[in-house]
Amino acid sequence: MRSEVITKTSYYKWNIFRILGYIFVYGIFGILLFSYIRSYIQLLMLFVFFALPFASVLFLTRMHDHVKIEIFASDEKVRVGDDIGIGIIIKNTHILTALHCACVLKLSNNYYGYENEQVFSLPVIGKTTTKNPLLCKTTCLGEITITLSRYEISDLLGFVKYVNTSEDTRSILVLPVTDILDDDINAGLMEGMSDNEDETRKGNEYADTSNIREYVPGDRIKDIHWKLSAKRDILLVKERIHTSENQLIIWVDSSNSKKLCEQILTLTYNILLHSVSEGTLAKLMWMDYKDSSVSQYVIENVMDINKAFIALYGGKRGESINDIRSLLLNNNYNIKSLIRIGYKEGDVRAYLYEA
Amino acid sequence: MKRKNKEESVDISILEGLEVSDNFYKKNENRLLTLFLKGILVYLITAGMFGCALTATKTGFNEIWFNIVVFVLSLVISLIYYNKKSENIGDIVYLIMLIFVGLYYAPYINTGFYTWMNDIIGAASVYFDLPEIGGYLAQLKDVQTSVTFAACYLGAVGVIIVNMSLIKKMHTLDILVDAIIIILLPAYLELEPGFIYASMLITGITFSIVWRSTGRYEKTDNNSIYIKKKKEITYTYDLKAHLMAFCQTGIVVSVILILIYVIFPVEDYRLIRTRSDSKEYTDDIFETFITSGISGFFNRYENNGGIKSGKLGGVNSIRLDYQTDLIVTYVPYDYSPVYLRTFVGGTYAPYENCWYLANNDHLNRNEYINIKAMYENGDQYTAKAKMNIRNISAEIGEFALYYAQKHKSIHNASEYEGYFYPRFEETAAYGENIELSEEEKAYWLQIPNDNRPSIMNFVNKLGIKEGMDPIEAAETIRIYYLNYIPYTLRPGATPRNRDFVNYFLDNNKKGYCVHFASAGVLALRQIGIPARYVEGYAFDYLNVLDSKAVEDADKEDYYEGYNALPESGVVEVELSDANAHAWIEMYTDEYGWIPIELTPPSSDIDRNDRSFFERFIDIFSNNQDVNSPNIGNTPQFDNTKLRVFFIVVIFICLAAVFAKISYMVIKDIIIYSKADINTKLVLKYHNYLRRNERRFDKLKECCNYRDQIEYLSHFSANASDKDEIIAIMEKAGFSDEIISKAEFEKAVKYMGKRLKKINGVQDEYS
Repeated sequence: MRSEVITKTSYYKWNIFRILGYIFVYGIFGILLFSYIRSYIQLLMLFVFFALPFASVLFLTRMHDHVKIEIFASDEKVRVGDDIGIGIIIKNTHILTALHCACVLKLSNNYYGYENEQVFSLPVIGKTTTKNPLLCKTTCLGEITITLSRYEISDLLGFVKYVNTSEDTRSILVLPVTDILDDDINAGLMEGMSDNEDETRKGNEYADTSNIREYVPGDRIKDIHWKLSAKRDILLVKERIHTSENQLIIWVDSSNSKKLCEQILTLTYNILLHSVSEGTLAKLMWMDYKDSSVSQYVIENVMDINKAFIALYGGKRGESINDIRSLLLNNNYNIKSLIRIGYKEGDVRAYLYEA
Repeated sequence: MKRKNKEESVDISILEGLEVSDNFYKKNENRLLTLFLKGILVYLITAGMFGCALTATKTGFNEIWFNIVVFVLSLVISLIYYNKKSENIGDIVYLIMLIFVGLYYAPYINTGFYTWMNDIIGAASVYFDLPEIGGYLAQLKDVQTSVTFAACYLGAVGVIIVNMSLIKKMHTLDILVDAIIIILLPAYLELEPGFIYASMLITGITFSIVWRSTGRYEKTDNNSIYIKKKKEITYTYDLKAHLMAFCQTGIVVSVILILIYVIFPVEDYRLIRTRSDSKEYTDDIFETFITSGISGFFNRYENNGGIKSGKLGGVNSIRLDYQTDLIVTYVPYDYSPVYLRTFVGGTYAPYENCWYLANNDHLNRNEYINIKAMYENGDQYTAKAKMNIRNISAEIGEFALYYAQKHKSIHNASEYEGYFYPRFEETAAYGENIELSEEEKAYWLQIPNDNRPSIMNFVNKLGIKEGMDPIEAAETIRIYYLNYIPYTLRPGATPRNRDFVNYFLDNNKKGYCVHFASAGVLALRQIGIPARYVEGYAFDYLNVLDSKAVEDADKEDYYEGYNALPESGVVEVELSDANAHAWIEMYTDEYGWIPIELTPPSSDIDRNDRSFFERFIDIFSNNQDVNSPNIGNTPQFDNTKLRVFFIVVIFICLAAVFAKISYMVIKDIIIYSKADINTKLVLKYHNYLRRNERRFDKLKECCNYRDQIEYLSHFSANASDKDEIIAIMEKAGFSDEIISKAEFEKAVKYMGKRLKKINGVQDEYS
């Protein structure tokens, strides 16, 4: 979950039409009728309805500095179709209450280029912290960014709004559902693996060591440099640089319609999960049209998959590429074959692509 | 995805690929409590409306029962909206119950309602100053129970109307209109409702305005807290939020209402209230309608004072503009009124309700000649006076002086100056050459046959007879008027097809100068005394007292001869339409035609004699103005209660301040007693700083112990100890070491020394 506060500005916004409407009704029902009938109860009403707007605005000015509003998200990452709890926490340390606080949420999914603004109207209760969850269900993949772009606290009569534009952002990663791969795909995967990769699966070295560093919890046991650790009397681990020729290369072709794209990403995710579970080193590659470059991500574990998908979601989809070979060569990649996941012959599938 | 809802079917996707879960909308509000809150709102408005109407008319009813019933019914009618099923069944059951109660207890409801209507009619007759209007006949003797029953029944109907406006959509404007309709009639009749009910109504309306303004008022069929609107997802109710908002609104409203009630109570307001011109106009229309029905509208014309047409009858009430019509410059000579004649009525036309203009040319000609001769002969009680009359905004006309040589029409913005010879009470009789011829006598004794029965009846009632001394007869009429026929500017129009004088004498028995003069003329003629009806402007010594002196005018230019007010000088008297008047002239053998005043003084109370601030001061004193014309007429506000209330409020405020200070002091003491020696010293040091911050402005700019102590040492007698004190303070404040008792006492002693301000030192350290 990432959170940041970028700017903070605040100002008052007057609802001129409402004020004029109030003055009009006050004039008609109050002053005109009073000037005609001149009853004491009208006099009372005139005073009350004259003072009420001032009191209402005064209440707002007294309370708004005591209000703190931020958004929350119950999960950093969810599976598509899961319920997620995003919401707004309103903390009011003042005793006064406002019945209307419009929290403007900007929601976006960069991967598909979706954007929307949603207003969430809530009360600001005196001396209370309220957590207002907005229970949602995700139906497509991507990284959903929710930003509280501003909030507007209205006074009791709605004459003035206190607008605060401090931005608070939360991101939620929507990952594909996990599925058991069928035998065909499994076989395809086997085909796409190089000899070296087979070696890797057997436990042989598959990459060069780039750096030796101290062990930190979470490092894989197999990365521990036992010999050096014995000499130094502390646990040391090897950091590796993978050589692409020795890995399972997966090319994601997510240029199709949203529906197909969802299927492609789901298949990709599951293949990656499978490879991780098998202990196979994989590299995920795709064309990012954001900067018109080939993006790649080495997958060693599930966390890597998530990171890869964050990077993938952060990019931009584009046209389907037929000649991947030229593209790779142009980008100095010497890849003989890869698994291409995309739409082929009326279906979404993973297939061997001889580069 | 579309939300399956009977009320609305909306897309609830907030972003492509992110939809609001159904569970979100299934989160239900606590409908019972919400409806309870709305029920209270319904109660405040309904009980407020009907309570206002009933207390305004001073109709006696059992308020406890009324409030209990309306409160319970408000809750019931609100709570049946719990769901669709209960709403449908509840509405039908409630309606059946209303019909059943209405039929079964019809006598109670009728009696109560009639009683209330009779009170309104009574109030209307007082307001319009009309003879008693027939009321409804009550069926039962137990009026209070019946009124309570009727009030509850009205409340039962009222809660439906209010609930319909409030429960689903907060139609505040509807509520406002409903309230105005209910309280309009009593308010129009200047009947003020009880303060408590007025407060309830205002509070209820204020709540509904707040609720409406925030837009959180809609009732959903599925009790959902959240709903999707066009632009937003919004909550519908939040009990705690609404309760707190109600509390803060309620406090504001209560404070304002109590303040107004204390500072400017209704009794004070009654004293200064005047009627608006537009209301005067509609008063006329209502009054004409009440007295004459629709036909009254065809026998009506406008009148705003300044009578001079001889046309009577259609005037419902006199509305005065108090603008200056004439300015008269003269020297006052006695206390009797001065008349400026504009119209003399010779023949009265019954049913046409007007006086026909008499030949004005030679009226009082001989009286003028006689009195002038007496003056020129040097008679004792005679004088020669000059009067200047400027027409400011009066219509063109003659403003004839009595005993003047000639008259002239005076246009707007023009003036006339003429001489006249005042007649005093002491002036000797001048009976020569003033006898009336038989023809003239016959003319001035005309009485239309249509008026004779009423006039005869009136004369018999008065006991005046033919051959009676004219002065004595006129005095008898004047005294009768004074005792039995009140003066009012709003007597109501004469009904169509009724004669003005007959209606005045036989039916209406109230009126203004025109009524008194017209009837008086005919009564005098009936007993053989020549008399005529006169209109114009009149002013008396009170107007003179309000006038301004013309300092650069020479009194001798204006007046010569006897003056009953020898000290008086030249004055300018401003006459408005309030001085427009009708009086009579009566023929006497001794003086010829003389003006006679029959109109009794106004019985209207001058309500503007004391300012609001004078009355406000009275609230806080025991002095009751014994000269107040309102004593005995208007119930006096209980000043004792008000003072007690005010003292209680002040006492509560003082007690609150005292409690706050005590709390702070006790809190400090407790903190100090529980603290270790280091903290105790730091606390004492803070007190020391706080004490001196007020005296030494620059101290605030010093941020640490060293700067502060060094700065203050310049005002201290034992400045040499400062380094040691700084060390002690830093030890106490920042180190883990515990200071010794000796160090503590030394520092305390240092801080206990009073610092002295030295001129120039502060600037030096700025």
